[in-house]
Amino acid sequence: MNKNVENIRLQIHNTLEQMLKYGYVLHNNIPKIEENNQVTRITWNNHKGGREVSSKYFLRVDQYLKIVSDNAYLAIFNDYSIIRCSFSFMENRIISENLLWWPCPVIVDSNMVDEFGLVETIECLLQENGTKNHILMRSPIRVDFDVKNDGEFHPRSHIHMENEDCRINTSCPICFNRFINYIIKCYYPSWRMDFEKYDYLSFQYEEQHRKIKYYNMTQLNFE
Amino acid sequence: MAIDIVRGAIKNQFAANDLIEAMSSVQKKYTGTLFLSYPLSATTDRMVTIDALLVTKEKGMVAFIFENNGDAQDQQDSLYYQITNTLNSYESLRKGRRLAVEPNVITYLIIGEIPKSTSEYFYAYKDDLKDVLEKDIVGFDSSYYEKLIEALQKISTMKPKKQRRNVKETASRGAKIKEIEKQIANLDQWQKKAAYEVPEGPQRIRGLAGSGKTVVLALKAAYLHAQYPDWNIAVTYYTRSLSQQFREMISNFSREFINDEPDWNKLHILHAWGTYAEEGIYSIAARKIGLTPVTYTNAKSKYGVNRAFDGICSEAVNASENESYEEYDAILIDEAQDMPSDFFRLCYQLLKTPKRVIFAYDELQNLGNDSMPSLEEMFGTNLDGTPKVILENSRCEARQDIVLPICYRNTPWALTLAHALGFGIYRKAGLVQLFSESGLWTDIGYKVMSGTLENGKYVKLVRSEEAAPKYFTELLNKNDAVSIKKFTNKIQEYKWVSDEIKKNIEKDELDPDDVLVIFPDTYYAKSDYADFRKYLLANGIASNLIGVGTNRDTFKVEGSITCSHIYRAKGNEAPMVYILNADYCSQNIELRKVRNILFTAITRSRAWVRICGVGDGIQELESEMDQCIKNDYALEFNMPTASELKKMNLIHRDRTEKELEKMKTASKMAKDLSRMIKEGAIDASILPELSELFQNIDKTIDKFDEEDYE
Repeated sequence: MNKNVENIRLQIHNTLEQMLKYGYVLHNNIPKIEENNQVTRITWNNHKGGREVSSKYFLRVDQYLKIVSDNAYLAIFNDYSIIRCSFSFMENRIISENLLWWPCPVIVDSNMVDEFGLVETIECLLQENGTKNHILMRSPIRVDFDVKNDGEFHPRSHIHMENEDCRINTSCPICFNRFINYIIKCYYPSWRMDFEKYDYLSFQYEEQHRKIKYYNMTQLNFE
Repeated sequence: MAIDIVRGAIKNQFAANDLIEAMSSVQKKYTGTLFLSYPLSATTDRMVTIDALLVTKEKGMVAFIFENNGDAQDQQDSLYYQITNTLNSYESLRKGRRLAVEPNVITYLIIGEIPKSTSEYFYAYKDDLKDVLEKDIVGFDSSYYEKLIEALQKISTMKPKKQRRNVKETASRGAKIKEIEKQIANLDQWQKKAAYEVPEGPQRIRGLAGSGKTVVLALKAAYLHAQYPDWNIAVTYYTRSLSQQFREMISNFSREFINDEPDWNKLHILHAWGTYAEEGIYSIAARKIGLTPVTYTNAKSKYGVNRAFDGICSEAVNASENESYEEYDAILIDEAQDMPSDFFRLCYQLLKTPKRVIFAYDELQNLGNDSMPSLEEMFGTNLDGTPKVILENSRCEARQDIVLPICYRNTPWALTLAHALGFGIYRKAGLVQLFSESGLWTDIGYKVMSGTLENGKYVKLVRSEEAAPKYFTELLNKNDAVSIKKFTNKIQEYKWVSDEIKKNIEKDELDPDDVLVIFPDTYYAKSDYADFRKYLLANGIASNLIGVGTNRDTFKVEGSITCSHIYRAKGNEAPMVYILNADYCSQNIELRKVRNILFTAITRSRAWVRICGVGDGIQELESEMDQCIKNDYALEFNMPTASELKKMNLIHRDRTEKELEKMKTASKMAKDLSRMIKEGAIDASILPELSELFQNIDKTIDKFDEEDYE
């Protein structure tokens, strides 16, 4: 198997196992590995296409609900936020990645989930009077890398948040652990997952050292 | 010799009663059943009901027509044709190129002129029925009686869900389960009665899990709808996955009766509660009463998780002031044991007179004493204090209280063991719980082998042969049906189970979704599953954790084994069941609860159960099970005296959250104390409090012993 894919797979396996033990993760699915021409991809299982999973629906609750109903995620946190990631490699170079954290839009009661199932629970909570008591205003966050798509208005390595067209430059693609570390350190500060430098992978990609001047000069540097 | 009478949806009560009376003259002569309003499979878009159908060993099929308006001969021809059409679909009734069974048709009259019977067309009335049957109905080959009964009992649309094309061997597990599934598509006489008998009022259907109550209710709903298309009928339940099952079954039966889907505007399948997205019985009732239905979150915050539904039903009942809302002609309730009493009152209020509330429940979902509330609690009392609902079985009317004694799902060995472990029959420290009504044992299919079912007396019970379908003893081996395995640690346990499952799929010809793995400890189910899954993956086995990874109504996914905690597993079944970490069910502060969990887990299995665990807990379960097996799957014990029962109920009573917390703390303290004493860190000389503690313990033991002296 492609060495990079194998390394990512191990990262995912070990990190999620640790998070399960800590109770941060409720449940995880096994990632899928696909080979097509010369491209090897590690991605989430059960992917189902559709309008709701398009980038236009980035901030829409329907996108979250669809991902959950299709079981098309890598892991679900104990606050019912979901994580899903995919990495594509051609030989030893990364060509794309898609790392998503979709926070659960409401404060969920696990008893209700046991009784009604997650999707129904959320739909219920969003429909009731007093729904504002249940809503948690958080934006999904998606880290993208596409080696072929690099331009003034579209850094090839960027992060989306708060708006479907927001692209903040992040300079380079990151591995699974780095992504999880970012999500936990910034958005779950009470959680403890101690990553060391050797837990991270760095990738090779085409024109690694090219520099373009992007229109949006904001930059986000991962730890 | 006797003729059993099943009173279906009788349209002409007068004629029916007349015929039944006439039958009394031949009661002793023939063996069989008289069906009133027998639904024939629809061949066109017309519903065909036989006014009365007599099926006997001696005379075969005799169909009665009550009306004589118009061309009696044509009516008889038409009915003959319909019946023959139905019988023709059964290969077993073929003799050469023809049907081995000739249906006979008699026009039965109660008033007016009785035409003379000819060689082809028969007429009868009360006084000459005996002669007509004896002399005119001839030529039935009794050897076809069993086959005829089988054909009539078969619900042809109840085909096994799976084809099981992969089964090639004759004696593999897959082959055995295939045969069992084929044979299950027949109704037995109790199920038939329960399905077709329509009293003018309430009806209760009781039975073990796996006795076919859900099928019976579905069939009844379809039958009533076919007979009375104008009726508003509701079918209600609590476990959400039943919605899909009911819908499928009722559709199938409906197609059998009227060759069409039911009119879903008239036949409602409703969850007991209802959500914002779909109506339920409670939400319908609430709206009728003029209340806004309370949602789950609000109900929970008002009444707590356990009493949420109970609380809102009570609210609604109190607000309704006993009014009647005349919404439904019949309400069929499944899983009645999970409904609070006030829910039944709401149903009662939604019904038109004569209040056809039909409820089915599992006698033993909760093995404990507080299974079902009384009829008074459920339906209330009249102004004069008499209960609104009484259930009586009178000989001349449709049955109101029916027990389904045969368990189709569980092998008799699994069932006996489930009872043994659930009640703690062979537990060293004594019984955990027991039926309050000792008569229940025989109701649910046990027979007394020796001793008596009386307080304080010795008794030995076994499953009676009639209470189990033959296919279990014919196809399965009792030593293979249930087994307990002890492991030194979880790793070994998970590895073994995973290897066994691999064998089940690769060698035993079972499908992955035939395997159900249950985690009795709900709290750890997710993390246990995560650990267990590694071993499954190592063997290339796909799995699904019900609840988190799936849509709420899904239980099985093709190509995956099913993993579940106990509450999701309820109401479902699988041929092969593995119970992991069953030691959790052995000893616990909430002993009744965990033993109930074990009972429920074992009774999910349709053929084989493997109980696995680690440590002392599993050791204890193993020794209890060994005792049962040594007794050749009998329950042998001393029925407790009244005071022993009292003590047992006291020790094992349901406790409040606070009490449980206190007990958990006490348990930890006791463990710590015990350890310190063992280590020699403390003793009574250093800690005088210890001697006080020991004295108190002695006193408590004495106190209980005193109460035994009457």
